[in-house]
Amino acid sequence: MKKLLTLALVGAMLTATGITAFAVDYPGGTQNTEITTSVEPTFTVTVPADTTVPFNALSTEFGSVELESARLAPDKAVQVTVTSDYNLNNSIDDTVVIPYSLNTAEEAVDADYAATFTTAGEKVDLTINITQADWDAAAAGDYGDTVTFNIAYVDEEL
Amino acid sequence: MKKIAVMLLAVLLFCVPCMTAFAAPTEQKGATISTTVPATCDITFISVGGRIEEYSSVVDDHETYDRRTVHTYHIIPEEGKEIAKVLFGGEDVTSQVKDGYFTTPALTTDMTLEVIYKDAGTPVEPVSEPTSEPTSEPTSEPTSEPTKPDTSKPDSSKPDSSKPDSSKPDSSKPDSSKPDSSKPDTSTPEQSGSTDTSTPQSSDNSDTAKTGDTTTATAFVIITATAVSAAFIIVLAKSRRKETE
Repeated sequence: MKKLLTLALVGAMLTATGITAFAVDYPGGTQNTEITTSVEPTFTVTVPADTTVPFNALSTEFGSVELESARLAPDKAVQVTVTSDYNLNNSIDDTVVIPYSLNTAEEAVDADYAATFTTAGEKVDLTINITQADWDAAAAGDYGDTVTFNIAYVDEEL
Repeated sequence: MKKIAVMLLAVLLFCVPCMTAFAAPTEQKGATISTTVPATCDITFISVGGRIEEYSSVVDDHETYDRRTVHTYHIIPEEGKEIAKVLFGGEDVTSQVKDGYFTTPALTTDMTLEVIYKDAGTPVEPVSEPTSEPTSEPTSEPTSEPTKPDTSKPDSSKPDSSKPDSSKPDSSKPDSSKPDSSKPDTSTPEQSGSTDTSTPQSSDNSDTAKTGDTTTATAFVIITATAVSAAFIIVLAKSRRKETE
């Protein structure tokens, strides 16, 4: 009985609260009713797929970061940053590395890099670059590294 | 004690929905970069008009060596021939040939060693620059001097202008001097330039971050949490009072 009472009370509180929150009081006379709606922002960002760098390749296409579709607020943007240690680690001994760099057509990608998109179709092409000296110095074996793309919905910087 | 638990529960109910509502809309997606560095290098030998020896044994057309090793070859022209040009990885290394011996730099990639001969006594043609640059610079100069200088061979660096150049090197293999490393590795990027097109709502592999107008939802969550907490406290207080009575 006590439990039933508790449940009923909770249910009543919930319902009452909901009704109160959305209630519109009409004491008489002219009243303005504000109609509001909201459109949720949505967007799709594509990032490069897993890539194998051919041995001795100085520059390899990594793919693109692209704002494929977007419905953003006017003062908002989609920002993509990249996190990586920029070393390909040997699968047996991760202290043995091949340094690499990521580059756009205009600049190097580093910790300070951020690509900001506001319109669908905007994209940045990335390349993986390894110098010949680093290839020559590399020990035999398999190497790998994970690049993390951080995608955020941010205020547009004007 | 029970009151404290109730208060904690109420605070928890109040806070947790709020934190969720204001969570930063950031998503992360990873891509893997991988590569394989071979343990060996192949050297392809081209020597028409003579032979190339290593450790006094004639080399095959191809030899496989451990990477970053250094090798010395003895270039021995046929009778009546002499060395006209030596190309290693497409680079003219004729000047590095001493008494018929050539020592490679440390091998880092597949290479081709091509020796071009001319009739003994014919003038040396001006050495033209290779059409294709080698993909790898030598990482070290040869350190080992030839151990068995062949003093019987004529010095090919001394031109004899009295004879025309009638024995031109085999020009039918113009590409043979190109280093093998110029060939693209067959393990091309799996999806170079491709993109992950997964959409946010339907896939775990999503690259999409969604945000919305959270004001209304947040207010409703706060009100609801408050109401539930209050109701819970009241009910528990009542039940406790009854128990004490």
